[in-house]
Amino acid sequence: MSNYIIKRMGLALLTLLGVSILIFTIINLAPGGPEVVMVGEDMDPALAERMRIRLGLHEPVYLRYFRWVTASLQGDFGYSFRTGHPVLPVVLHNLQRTLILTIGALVLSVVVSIVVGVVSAVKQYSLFDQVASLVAFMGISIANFWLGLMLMLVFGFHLGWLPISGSGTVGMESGTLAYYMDRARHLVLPVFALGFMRLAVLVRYARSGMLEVLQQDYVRTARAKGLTERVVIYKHALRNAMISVVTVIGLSIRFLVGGSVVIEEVFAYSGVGRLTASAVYDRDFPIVMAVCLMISVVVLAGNLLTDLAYALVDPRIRFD
Amino acid sequence: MSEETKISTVETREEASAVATINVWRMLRRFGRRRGALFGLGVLAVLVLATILAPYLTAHNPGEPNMTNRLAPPGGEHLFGTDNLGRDLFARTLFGARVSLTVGPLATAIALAIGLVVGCISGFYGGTVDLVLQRIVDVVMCMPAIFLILVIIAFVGPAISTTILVIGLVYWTAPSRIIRAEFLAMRDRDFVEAAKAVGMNEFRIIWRHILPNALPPLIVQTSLFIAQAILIEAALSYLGLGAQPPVPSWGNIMTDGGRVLHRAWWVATFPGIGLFLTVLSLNLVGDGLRDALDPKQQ
Repeated sequence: MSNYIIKRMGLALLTLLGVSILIFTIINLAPGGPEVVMVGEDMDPALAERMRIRLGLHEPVYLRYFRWVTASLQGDFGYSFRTGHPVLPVVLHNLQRTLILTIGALVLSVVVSIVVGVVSAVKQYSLFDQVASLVAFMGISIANFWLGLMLMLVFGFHLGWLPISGSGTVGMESGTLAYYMDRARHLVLPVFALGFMRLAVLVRYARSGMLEVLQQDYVRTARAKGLTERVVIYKHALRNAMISVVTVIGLSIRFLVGGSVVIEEVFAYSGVGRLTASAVYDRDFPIVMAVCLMISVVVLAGNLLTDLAYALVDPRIRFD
Repeated sequence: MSEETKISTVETREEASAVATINVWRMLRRFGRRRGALFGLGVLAVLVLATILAPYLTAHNPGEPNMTNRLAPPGGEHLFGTDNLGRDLFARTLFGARVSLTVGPLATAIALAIGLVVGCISGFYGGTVDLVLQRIVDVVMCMPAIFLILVIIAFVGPAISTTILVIGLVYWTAPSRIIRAEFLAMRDRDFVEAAKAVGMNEFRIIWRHILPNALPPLIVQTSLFIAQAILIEAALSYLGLGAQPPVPSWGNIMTDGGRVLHRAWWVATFPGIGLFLTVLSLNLVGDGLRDALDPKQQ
């Protein structure tokens, strides 16, 4: 068990190192180097030279990479090109809000998909199964931002049930119950729009996982020894079907964080995705680099947790 | 001895080709039985034709503003209504399809080409080469694709050509894993051993002997990859980082639509339906092909 975890952690650290090299390389591949991108191509050579020295660009590449990595590890991600403020607090603040959105969508998609997928599999070819499969198929084909716009149109503008954008009503006193309710109401539409495609994907996984398990010998044995159908399905089959779902939950984090970029734009929800999109317009590289590194940390942490969960759910992994 | 080997090869080859033909026909028949897949194929055919014939299908210029007729509701002269600059939405949606239907297949072609090369090398040589290549795949797969794409666009600047290239450069990992898995499954099979034993060079073994057998699972997934590429292109254009105005694309029409959503529902709705139908059809075709190839998986 501990061997397995140590191996996984080692791989994750190696991947993170690779990500840092990749990001650093792309940033330094820019024609003429980052300073040209910052100031423009027709800048005064003397100014360019001063800038290079100020940014430390006159040093060899490996030294710069090393400097960047050690500084990042100490929490120093530099200063935003545009605002001049330190990058870390801004990124962390936005990251926290993106994580709220992402975790909301993850919980929604996992819980609903397991229920729907299992019922679908148990009642295969029933009306419920057919409708669920159809909706799931449509779900994997719908663009999340368009779904967001349509939800906004129906529930925000026409029915007026939910706020259409932002992350909270301006001027509410923080810390009160009304404040948290207000924030939650602002999250409903973006969370649903973000989670729907994942939900659809996971329903298909849960359904086929459950169908496969239901055909196994041990399920037949359980039935043969006279256990009630409820015990067979929820105790014997469900637990084993979960294994296939657990493996995809980890993957889902990456897709959800990626999807949040557009969803945040649609709902004017200021998270890390919106921050990156605007930093890309402004060519604010310290922000872009910091966001990419932290997103990778989040995804890798999620994958590690999944591996752990996998080992807990499936004893075969532990003794490998 | 040599006589014997010869006979047996001929036999196996005939047998193999016989099996292959039966499979293709069976696949086509199975595919044809899936109503969803046929529906998808039909919708795609109509879409492709419509985009090619776009100038003949509408009298309106997709880029021509008409300030006296802004945000006209659907119906009458403007089938889908007009946008906030009075441009005909039907024409814009029709011409916008060109971006999606170009970027999707081209970006996928690049992704498949890279994935194919990496997958072949990784799966054929195995060992250290495989280990190193797979760690690179891990790195590319670790970050959500859109972030990697955004980093690259930050430098090169947004354009349709950039979009195609960047999507291709980021989405090669899944195809490479598919090809690698096929190669790993086949590298110790007798026909590969035989090819090695007669001293055939490696490139020929990979290209002529293993690859043709490894391709079907990839081909089956191609339409699913195109669907992914079309979705990501639309998202980039929606963010203003893909196709740039005045070129209409479904993504950037929806950006306009989002701004006037409270007054004119149609601007964001119609290009979105186009996008949905396209992706849905590609997924239906992909699903049909997968079932036809391997009916066990469902």
